[in-house]
Amino acid sequence: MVWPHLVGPGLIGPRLVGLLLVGLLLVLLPLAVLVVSPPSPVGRVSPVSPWSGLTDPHFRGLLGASLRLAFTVTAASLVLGLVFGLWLARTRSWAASPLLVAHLLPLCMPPYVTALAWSRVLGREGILARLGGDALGLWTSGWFYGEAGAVLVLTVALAPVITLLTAGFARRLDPSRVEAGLLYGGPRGALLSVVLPMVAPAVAAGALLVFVLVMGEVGVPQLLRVRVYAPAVFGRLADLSFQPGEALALALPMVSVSLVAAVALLSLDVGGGARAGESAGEDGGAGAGGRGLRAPRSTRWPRSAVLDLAVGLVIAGVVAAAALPLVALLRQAWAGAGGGIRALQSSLPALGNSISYACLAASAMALLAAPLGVGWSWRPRASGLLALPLLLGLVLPAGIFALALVATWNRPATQWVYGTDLVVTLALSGRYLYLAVRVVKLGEDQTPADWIDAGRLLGGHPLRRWLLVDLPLRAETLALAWLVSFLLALRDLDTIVLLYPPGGESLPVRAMTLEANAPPGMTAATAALQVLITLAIVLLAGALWRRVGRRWRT
Amino acid sequence: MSASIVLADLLVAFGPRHVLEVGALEIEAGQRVALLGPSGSGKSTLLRCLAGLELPRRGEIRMDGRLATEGGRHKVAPHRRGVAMVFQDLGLWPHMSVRQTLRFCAPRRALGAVAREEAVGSMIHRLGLAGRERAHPGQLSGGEQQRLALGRALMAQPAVLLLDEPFTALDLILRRELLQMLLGLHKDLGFTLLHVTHDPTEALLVADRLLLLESGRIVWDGPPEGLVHQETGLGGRLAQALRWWARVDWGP
Repeated sequence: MVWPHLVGPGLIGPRLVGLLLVGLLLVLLPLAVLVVSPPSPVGRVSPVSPWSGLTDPHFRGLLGASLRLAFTVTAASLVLGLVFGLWLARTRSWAASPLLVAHLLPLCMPPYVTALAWSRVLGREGILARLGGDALGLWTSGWFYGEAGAVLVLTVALAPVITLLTAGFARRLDPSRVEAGLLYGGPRGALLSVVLPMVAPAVAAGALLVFVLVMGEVGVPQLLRVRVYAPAVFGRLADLSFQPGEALALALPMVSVSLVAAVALLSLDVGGGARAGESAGEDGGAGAGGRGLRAPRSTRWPRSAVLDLAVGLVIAGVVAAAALPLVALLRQAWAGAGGGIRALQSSLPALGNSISYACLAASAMALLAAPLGVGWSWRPRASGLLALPLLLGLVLPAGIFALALVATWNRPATQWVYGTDLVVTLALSGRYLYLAVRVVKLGEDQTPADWIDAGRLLGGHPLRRWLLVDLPLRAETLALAWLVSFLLALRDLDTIVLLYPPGGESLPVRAMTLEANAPPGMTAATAALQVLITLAIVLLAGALWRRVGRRWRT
Repeated sequence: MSASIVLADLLVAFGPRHVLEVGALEIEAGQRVALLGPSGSGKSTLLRCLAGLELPRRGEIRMDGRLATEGGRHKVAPHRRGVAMVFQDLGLWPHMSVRQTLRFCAPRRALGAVAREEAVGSMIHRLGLAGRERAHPGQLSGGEQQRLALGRALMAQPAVLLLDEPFTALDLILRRELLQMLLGLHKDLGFTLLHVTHDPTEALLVADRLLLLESGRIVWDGPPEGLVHQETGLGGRLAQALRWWARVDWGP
């Protein structure tokens, strides 16, 4: 391997240090400031004990409800994500891509908007009530506005995390391992003893991520009137009852869960193995290496009638979950045409803010992710640990992270940050940079080392080499990282809602405000706008992903 | 001796491209057959069809008298064909130890739990992997991995063993050891052996019958010693290559 010797620790080393420093500055520094000097008015002394969340019966009950909701959503997402992910990994059907887009769409939107859309299906005046009568509407809204509705919405919104990880891992399995399983264990043996254990780390990581995201979710339980812990804690950050010290103290159990999840995710180290074409660490030797790149669609995958039935049900669910809410939103937006158009006009500034935040944050994240992701790819073991602060930014409850930024930047001397888009850029980068770096790492992992080595040997002047070899090789991956970051920033609600500067509300924040104060048609039009923009970007990202995949396969 | 494998009018195509066409082929039980030919000649595809991992567009495959594939449909699932395969890149499962791998492949119905453990222990001993039972593939050397892959295949007590160039990447010494082990196991267990290789010398050492494939067709079928007399075609080119490699001057 020529590359590491030529580039050596002189460049890889600083990248790894950078990985740690960026995490420290973006995530740990604000958290440290929050602990040392929480924002006014409460100051350092909290009126509640840090252990209230565990000792007070009221909060203990809410915490129990949160845990129950998180476990239920995680279990449902596991079933949905695992079955659909395995199907996606083995199918050759043309329907796979549109189904994947339909499945991913709710993940790319704020869960609050997904809940709004579902309320137009299952609410008292939803399309089911229109079709089946008021009695049906009463019945569906009865269970939708409660824990069952929250489970439905959050499962639809978060199961794609598990689907993506399962499908991604299963597609990268060495086909001969699966075939050997088929030969010696039959379809059931291959599935249970070969495929599932090999995708288990990815599935476990996805499940952990879903669990912590549900624990920290505020918007959906609030809309569906589910009494759980996070809204009770972060309700203390609302304008009229601003009690940051209390919120901070009560958030301790959630922060503990996030910390445990971060460490567990780190230990699973999904995708933290070696690069394509190299001996893959524990997975190394003759059985690994570049063969992982072979398109796995030539593999005969384990099939069984039960699995086929489950897949059929899941596909029907995916189609329904994508189509019904979208149709309901568009129908309501269209029905109140005048209100809808007014809503669109009045939402244009919010749309502009959303796009501005997303562009700034995505550009910052792509710029940072490019060197850090490449460095991580070449030194996977060291980098995993160094990326812990960034991972913490992703799994911490959004409210805590936003509060930390308030504590850090809401000072007279730093209003040029706090009173501008810059604070939102910092917040979004701190929260999602980890995922952008992982996208770049994934792309770099798949880039054959020989391509880069050849550039080192034959590329001439470093600048020429960088322009003609290194950059073109990574251009699509970087564009993909930018798009993924853009989507994450566009969907964010829980962080931005606590930080946006005056007059700078984003589209999801606007939808939430309208839901409380405006006619349903206006809210529907605003939410539909968010859905359609998200859909366009998902399609663009999907096209780019296919292009990257094709290049890797050649 | 009865025919172990019978192929008739077999056609495998990927889109418009015909990658394998076999009019008729019979392989007797216990035979050692080497498949030789350039890359893309259809050797591996033939093995994968026999294993039931590739579906031919037409034709039939009979294994041990049973119709295994017919008219573009598999009649017998891969794991019920009595076939085992050593893959080119081995395909060892990284999450299973040596013992777990062998135990997974041991026949469940034919052997009770105790007998299965004994068979696993005996195979570990035979493969020279004693003391390495708890090691995972990533902790094994290249030679140990090859032996494990071979042992995994034999653990299933197959009637037919398919080898898809598993020894290509090995050095000469290791390759000799493994080929000797393979021949010893064949002598003891009596399975039918189909061995895909690029290397004519390896084919001559292992096989008692040679099949030469070119562009998806069998162009020559005969005993190994017949190859050296070939003058034209692929056989002639291989014979020339063999004579050229044999010109090593060992000195006085």
